[in-house]
Amino acid sequence: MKAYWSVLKLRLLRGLQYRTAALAGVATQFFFGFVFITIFEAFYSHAAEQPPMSLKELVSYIWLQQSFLVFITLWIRDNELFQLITTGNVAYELCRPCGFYEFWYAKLLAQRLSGALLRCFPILIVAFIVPHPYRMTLPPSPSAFALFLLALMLGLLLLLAVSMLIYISVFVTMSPMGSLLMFVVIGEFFSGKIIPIPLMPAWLQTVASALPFRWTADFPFRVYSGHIPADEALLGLLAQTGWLIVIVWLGKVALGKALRRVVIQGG
Amino acid sequence: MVLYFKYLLISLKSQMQYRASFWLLALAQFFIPFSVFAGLYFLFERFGQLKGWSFFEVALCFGIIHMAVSVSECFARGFDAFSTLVVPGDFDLLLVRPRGTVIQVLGSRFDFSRVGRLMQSVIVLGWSLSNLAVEWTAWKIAILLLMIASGALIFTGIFIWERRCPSGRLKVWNWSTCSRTAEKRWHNTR
Repeated sequence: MKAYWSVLKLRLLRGLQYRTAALAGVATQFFFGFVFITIFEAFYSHAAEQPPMSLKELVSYIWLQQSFLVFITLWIRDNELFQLITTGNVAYELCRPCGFYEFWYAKLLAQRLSGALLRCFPILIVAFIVPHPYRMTLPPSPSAFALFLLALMLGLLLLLAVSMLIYISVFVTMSPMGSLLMFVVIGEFFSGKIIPIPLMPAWLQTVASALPFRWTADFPFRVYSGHIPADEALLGLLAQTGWLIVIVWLGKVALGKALRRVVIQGG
Repeated sequence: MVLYFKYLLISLKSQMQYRASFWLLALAQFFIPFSVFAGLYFLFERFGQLKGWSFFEVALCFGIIHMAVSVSECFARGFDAFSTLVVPGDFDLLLVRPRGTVIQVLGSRFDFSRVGRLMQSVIVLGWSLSNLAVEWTAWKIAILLLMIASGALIFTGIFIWERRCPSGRLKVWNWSTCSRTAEKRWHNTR
């Protein structure tokens, strides 16, 4: 456990060095945040009936989405790991006296944590001072905020477990693009990245709630704005933990199977 | 220009060597904008209209812009992937050849799997046009074609203007100064 902890710490410090890259990311996220809010605001201004999510809740949803983008996108990947697998250099990794899954999980976790730490604060600060309708609001109660933080962290762990599945699939397919694209297209749509889940038609919401992706992004952001009340949020946290255990287990089983069949030639 | 088409042909032939992978990638390229378009559709289904714009009018814009992006991504991919030439030092190879660097970078990569994206935008465009009451005149057809063509040129211009640095940093540099300084630096090291 100590080894993984120090991997996490070292990688975190390394990730925090790329400040200019983060600055460029912040600028992009601002732009996207404004564009999305403008689009939704235009839709809301002519809504015939009351939409299932108020504009205030939606604005918080979008700003959170933009500031924690590093936590919720499957698209961000570590090409180093893909290359290790396809070139066979993964053999060195397997020689290490620690678990392959845990080691890489810690590395990827640090990568995302440092990315979000650098990016989220400037975006959030500006999101709180821009004029209405773009201004983000505080959560309705301190308990909602605490639940949000918990849900966000669990969501991050869950997302990493899903992205580990993508890496493991490369052992079989040897080409990262296919599985990556598949996961990204399905995952991002059903995590509410394109349109928030409450705005989807009912049948699609059923599909989304049957999949793990909505727990990574949609759920924490709606807990923040109070769109999901506290008692329901507690159940949601349980569901997140359940999914996390299932997907980590699945990843470890798949990795074990893949490693047993792995053939590395040359020396 | 002859050289450009030669590059084009070679690239097409080499990508066609992996036929299955090519079509799968094209299929995936089809689905990426598809999910965005589905989102758009569901929003219109819920809200009906967007400040007086109907769904098919918006879909028309979506189709035109997407078509322009996919065309320029297919033919000007070399510039988009410019950093993969510079970072490992492969740009040196282009500098020693007795041809312009711009055309060589342009010809270094074509991404024909964007044909999937193009198909998607063609379908969206066709669908929206068949649902809009447009009186077709020669001028209107010309405008539509010009919109797509000039859109593609604008996106190509953006690709050339921005070049992505390895850490994802966006550096907005003028292509010509960028290339000139790179060439100068390269000559100085000799």
